[in-house]
Amino acid sequence: MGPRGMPQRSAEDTGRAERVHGGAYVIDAACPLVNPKDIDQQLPELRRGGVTCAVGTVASIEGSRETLHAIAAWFPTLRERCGDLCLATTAADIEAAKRAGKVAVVLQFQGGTPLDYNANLVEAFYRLGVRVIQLTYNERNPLGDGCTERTDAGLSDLGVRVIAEMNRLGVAVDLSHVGYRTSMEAIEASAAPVIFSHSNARAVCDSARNLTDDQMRAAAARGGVIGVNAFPAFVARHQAPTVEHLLDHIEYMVRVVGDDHVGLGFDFSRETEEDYKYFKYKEDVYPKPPWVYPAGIDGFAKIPNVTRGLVARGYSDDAIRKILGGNFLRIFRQVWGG
Amino acid sequence: MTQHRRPATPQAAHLKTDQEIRAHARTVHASAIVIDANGELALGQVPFDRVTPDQSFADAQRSGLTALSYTAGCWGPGALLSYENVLADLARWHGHLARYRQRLRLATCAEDIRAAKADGRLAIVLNVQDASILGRDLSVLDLLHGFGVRQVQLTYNTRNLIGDGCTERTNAGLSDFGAAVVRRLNELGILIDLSHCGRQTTLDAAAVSTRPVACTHTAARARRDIPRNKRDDELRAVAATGGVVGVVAVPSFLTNKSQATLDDVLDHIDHIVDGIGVEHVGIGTDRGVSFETATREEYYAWLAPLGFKPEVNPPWPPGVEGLACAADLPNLTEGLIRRGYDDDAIRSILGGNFLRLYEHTIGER
Repeated sequence: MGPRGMPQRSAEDTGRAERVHGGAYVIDAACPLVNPKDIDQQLPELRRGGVTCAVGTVASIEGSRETLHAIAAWFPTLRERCGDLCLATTAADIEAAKRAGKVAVVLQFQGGTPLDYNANLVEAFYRLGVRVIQLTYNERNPLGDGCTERTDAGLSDLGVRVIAEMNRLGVAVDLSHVGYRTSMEAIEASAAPVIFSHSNARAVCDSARNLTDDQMRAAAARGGVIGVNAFPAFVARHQAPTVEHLLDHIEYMVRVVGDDHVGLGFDFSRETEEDYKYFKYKEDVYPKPPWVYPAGIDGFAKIPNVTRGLVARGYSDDAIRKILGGNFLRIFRQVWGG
Repeated sequence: MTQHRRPATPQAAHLKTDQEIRAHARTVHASAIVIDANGELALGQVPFDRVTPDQSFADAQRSGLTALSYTAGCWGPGALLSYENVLADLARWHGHLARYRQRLRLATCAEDIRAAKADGRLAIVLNVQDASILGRDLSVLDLLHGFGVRQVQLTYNTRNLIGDGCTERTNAGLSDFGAAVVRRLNELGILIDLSHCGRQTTLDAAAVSTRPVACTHTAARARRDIPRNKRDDELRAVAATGGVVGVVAVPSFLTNKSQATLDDVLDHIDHIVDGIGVEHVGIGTDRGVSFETATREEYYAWLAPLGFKPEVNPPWPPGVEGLACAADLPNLTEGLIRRGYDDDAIRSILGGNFLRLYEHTIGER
């Protein structure tokens, strides 16, 4: 365990961190800010952070119609920025983006509401390029309960059918934000390994949005991957969080499930009071905005600090590459094919 | 809550002959406000599109119905209930109400039902059977209220954002949004219907609601153990709010025999009366006023997308012998006399209890 605050680093460590980071697949598995509206602003940041692949959120609690429009907005953006961006629907697309020096964009839902009670829409959205579907946002939806819901309902019949469709087609089942029972039943129901794209360890920071050890172990036992989250209230509760607190989550997860099952899903976002009402956040879990991201990891450009921190904490090059994106690339290849 | 059980000495004892019983039944039935808290009047909608309006109104006359709660949404083959369907059907029904104003009147308060009795029309209480059409927007309830809807069921058979339906694999309670929906329905004066809801959602909604709630169309699970029927504790929870439980005329909900009869309906009524008191029991046939003439294939094609599971899929033919449709309701009155219910009890079951419930929920006027 490294000392608190920004650790002292040797020139040798700095060189090693740069080398590992530059050679690695860096995958951020939850990027609300990677969307057509914000892409011009975020692209330089993504570049500075050395991001290979950004999993962009196109819907959380919206229905099919709004989601269709949100996906459609990506196509002209991808066409116009084809020198910088490419849509990734296979692991090979992510590898090709790395070679070509582009940022690969994966389309993700942070909730199953775009399916409108209709499991056939999984294939419709799959054909449009969606490769990650988180089953619920924070509240109940037709598939299951979210983690801040007053109840803890399990997976619904429709949820079971939707997971079967996702397994058949090759869409990653994402269980961040999902309530405990729904998440455990989904891990059980899914034939493929699942991800928690952006969730921290509850033992390190006690939040309804963070994972218990048994959730992490259940996912890892089936080959799953957990992305560590930079959202301040999920990193540390009683003090201003820093990148060191985020590294503490990584260390804890590696201790509980091993370095094959940990990745990154920073969830950098920027929301207004109006958004806050729209998402019906509960204040005990989500403090009111503005949200101040942890010092040292307050945006894509700072992602190399994570690599530096992992070097300082004594992780091997191989372990660091897995955490930066190797693990997510592995599970995406396994689930999506290619 | 006082419990008026059936009298030890059947009043039918003084009625000597079948003829006397039938004559008395006609008198009681004619004097009663008769409410089918979940019925269907065929005016062109699937799958009742072979019944003409004239036939419908003749059957409504025969039924003695004062009011009927109609489900807006028009579940056509392949089309699940949706916001668009509900609005389109409400529009169509406002058209019917204008076109057939000599026959029908919209009921948005209890007084409308009494007035319908006085002027010989059929009062229509508009209902919606799956609040999933709200999405996550409570203000849709204000819109529905504005369009005359006065009865809303929280879930259909499967899960929605509010709660779990009764055939769902899980038994979730009311969600945060569900609790907000219940409060808004209370504020607006819309009757909360829990017929298709799962057990925990039913119990939670009864606990959260500040006004009486209903199961407008169900039966006793103690007599027929299928998910669509209500356990005794659910029935007690509804009664504890001052609510009413309407008994269905759907064969497969009543018995596992291949042919259900009026006696099966009466057995369920007896069970529920014994459990929660006669003042909490009513009728919600879940049938048409007329006997539907859809074919077996059409009938099952219509049911297929509605989330029924094999154990609750209604058998063919769809009718109870003696109570195949609401037009047969006078037989129920005769049956209640033979079971020993007194005239007041019979009138309360036929509609008095639902009328009181409407007074306490949608309002007197």
